[in-house]
Amino acid sequence: MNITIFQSRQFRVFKKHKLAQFGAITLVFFILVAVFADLIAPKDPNKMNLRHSYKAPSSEFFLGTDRIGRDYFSRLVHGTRVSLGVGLGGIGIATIIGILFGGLSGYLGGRIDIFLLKLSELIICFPSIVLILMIVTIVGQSLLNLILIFGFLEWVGLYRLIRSLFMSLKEQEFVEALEAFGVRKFSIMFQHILPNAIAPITVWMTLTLAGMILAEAGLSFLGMGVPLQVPSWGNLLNGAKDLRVLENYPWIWIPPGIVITLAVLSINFLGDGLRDAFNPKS
Amino acid sequence: MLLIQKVDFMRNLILQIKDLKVYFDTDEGLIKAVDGVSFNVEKNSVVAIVGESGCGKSVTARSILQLLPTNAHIVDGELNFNLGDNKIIEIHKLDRNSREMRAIRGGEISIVFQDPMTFLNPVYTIGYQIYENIKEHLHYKYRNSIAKIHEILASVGISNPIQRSQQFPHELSGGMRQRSMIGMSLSANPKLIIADEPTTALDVTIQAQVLDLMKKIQNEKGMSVILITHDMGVVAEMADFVVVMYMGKIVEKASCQMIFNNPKHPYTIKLLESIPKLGRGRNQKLKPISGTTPNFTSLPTGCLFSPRCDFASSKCSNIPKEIEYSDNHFVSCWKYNEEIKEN
Amino acid sequence: MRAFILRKLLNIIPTIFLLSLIIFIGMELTPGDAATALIEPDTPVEEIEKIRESLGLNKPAYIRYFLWLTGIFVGDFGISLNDGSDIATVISQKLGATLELMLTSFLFSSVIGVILGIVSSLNKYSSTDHILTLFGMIGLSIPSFFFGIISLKIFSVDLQLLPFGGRLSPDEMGNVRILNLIQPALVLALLEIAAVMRYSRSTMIDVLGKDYIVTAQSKGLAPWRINFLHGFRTAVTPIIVLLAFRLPGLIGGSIIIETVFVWPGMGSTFIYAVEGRDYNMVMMISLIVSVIVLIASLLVDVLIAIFDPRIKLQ
Repeated sequence: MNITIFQSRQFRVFKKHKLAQFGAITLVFFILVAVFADLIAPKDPNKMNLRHSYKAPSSEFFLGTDRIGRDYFSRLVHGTRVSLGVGLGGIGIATIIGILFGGLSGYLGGRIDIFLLKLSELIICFPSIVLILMIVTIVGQSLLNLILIFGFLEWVGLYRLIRSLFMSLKEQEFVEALEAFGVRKFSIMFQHILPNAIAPITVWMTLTLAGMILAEAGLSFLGMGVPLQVPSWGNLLNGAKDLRVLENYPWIWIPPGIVITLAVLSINFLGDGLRDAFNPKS
Repeated sequence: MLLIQKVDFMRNLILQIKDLKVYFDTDEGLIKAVDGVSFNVEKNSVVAIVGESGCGKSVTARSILQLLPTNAHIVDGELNFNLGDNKIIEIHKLDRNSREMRAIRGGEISIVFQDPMTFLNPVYTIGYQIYENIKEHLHYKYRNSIAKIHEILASVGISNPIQRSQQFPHELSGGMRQRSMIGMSLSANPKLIIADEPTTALDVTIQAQVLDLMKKIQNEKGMSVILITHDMGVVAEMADFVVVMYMGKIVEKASCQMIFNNPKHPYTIKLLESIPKLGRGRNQKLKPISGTTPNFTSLPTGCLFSPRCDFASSKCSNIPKEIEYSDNHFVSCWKYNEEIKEN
Repeated sequence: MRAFILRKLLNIIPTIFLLSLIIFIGMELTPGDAATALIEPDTPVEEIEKIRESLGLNKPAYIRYFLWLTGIFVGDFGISLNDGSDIATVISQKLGATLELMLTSFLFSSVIGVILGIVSSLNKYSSTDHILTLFGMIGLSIPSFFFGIISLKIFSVDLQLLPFGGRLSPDEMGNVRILNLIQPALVLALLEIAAVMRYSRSTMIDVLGKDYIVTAQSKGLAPWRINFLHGFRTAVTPIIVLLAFRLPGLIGGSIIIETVFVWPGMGSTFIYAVEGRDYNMVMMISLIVSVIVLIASLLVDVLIAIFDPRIKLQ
């Protein structure tokens, strides 16, 4: 009997474990940086000093300075708070809306379902960025607006998931029994049916969070996301649009890019690990 | 045994399975799905393998054609197949994807599966899926195959074969699908057919039809059949010889008559007691077998059936040896060692 | 099949009307209209009012909506608030560039992504598979514009092999034009390859675990036949659906890439319009894009019906 067969499968399971663990630890690290940004950042991220424009990294400025002399490292640290905040805020809102709408649609059906379904179809017709920019154009650009827009647009995926879950589970006998006992619909929906969905909801949350962080980065890079004075990962990369920066000042564009990639990568690893963990082993 | 000796030994056999061991490695550990199974299939006979779900009967059947999943391995044992013309093929020595093995699959030995809905490809017509087998083994060109396909479909009792051959699996009823599968397995005139619970997924009335069809084909073509089932009624109707399996081992094997009239192993007896018998009246007491099959990762030592056996004794903590109770009737149970000794 | 297509078309028409309604409402909510686009600054208010009247801008909303909608059907997309240019003309000029970029990317990424996904799935858990999967994960996580910047730095700034951006008109030499196309197209393709590869892999693995694959094996068919004629053939349908789902994302991605590489397409036009508060342009492009996505999904439905006989055409 071949021992190597054992090795390859267990190795695979363990390896997935490791990546997910790495993802979780990195994510926690980023969250800690975001929470304690004030303590970690050595200088005021908004303090300008035109005499220190584009200085290379040194012991005083860990990551050098940007065009108007602000400490880049401090901006990166505070940017973590903003970028993660936008992502987590958006995810929070989207999750609540997705579950609420999905539950109402799936369980109650009828007009509500038709309306919500149509709404979700309309949102899906637009490429995400196009729709977000269209709305930003109408309502104006601000940090709060960004979070709200993310939240109000990204719920569609979760909505579909929850809706089909409720639609299928609604027919099952335990629900009939609960209804017969006079348990209120609201309670049935959220106390009895929903717990079945914890797994796919969590997986969806991690993957969509990754998407939101990338979206914020892209929008801010274009100058249309987080307002430019507020540091965010994408905003910092906005500085790289200048060719001089690309040619001469690598500390401006490399660190934010790597940080974004690392953050999104770890969320993806975590999401993958969660998906495997929740998958019943065949 | 040398190959030459095998030829001689297998003169009347189509297949000899000797001490077959198939183990699965899984995340929960090593599972000994088949652990030392031996039986012979005579030419032109029907051998039924019976047992509960999970006893290893399907695995045994699939290992004959090396159709096991990648985490399963034939760890030991022999699978000797009589090709005819004094040629014996040692299947256990063949590489899974080798030319020889593929030539056997569908050509010399074919298999009919349980659920024709999932075992037929939904995007190809019935006719095409049969054509694949004909092309692979008979090397017909497409033009010549069409007639043969219609002939095959007709021979398995499908009316309108021309129309049906152009249809997709989801357009046929369950019974027709299974007949098509059977037709597909017959298309290259194999010597041995393995039927893995062929009627389990069908309605009772359709079951009867399909069984009749199989009997008819077996008689007409002189084929050998290995029939996997958990239904003793099907066994009674179809089998010449019966092999009873439990948890990866054979507990009893004998002719069909012997099994029904003179079952010896406690498990076989329980199996027979748990099915209703026609003619015994309305109020038959059905006796389910007490207990459940143990988990494969925590098997009892000694006889695997002992926890559920009414006759268990201290001897049963050792694995029983197989003894020949009478002519071609074998049992693995300590109860009978005594009887033999006494006689 | 014709009835099928007709039915699907009928289904999306109400959605298109709803979309146009949303766009129109968006336009109503934003300041500025055709009149403000046409006037010089310092024009007296009475003049503006007269222009408004002549353009029919004072009519009630539902009439304006109707006029606007019918205008679109005859090709009048309104005028840009920034420079008064005809939006339809602008779009037709820029559309070609975007299509060139997107189609190149789409074809490249779909083909490569599917092939790599299949290779991965057939060699499950081998080192090739692990490496490809890792690259895939990184590809999904790296922001496209960051990758674009890296590429610019390496190939344009340091090595000076490829131009910084811009696009040569179709009149110029074909070979030279490719140099401009390579970077934006490949960078745009990267994210797609990662996603397509991942999904193709999991779909193939899923399909290869199905029962009818065992049947195919039991007929003694050659492994390549089984993997492609039975495996891939059945996996094609969900993969096509995925590729279609990626289309909106591809459009969004091209917006960013066109900005990074100064590619004169609809994407960069859209961004300039957003930056410049050219609400008309923003809305019209949004409308066009959403209708394109809708029609693309219809095409996908037709494709699926072709490949999967289980879909009822009647």
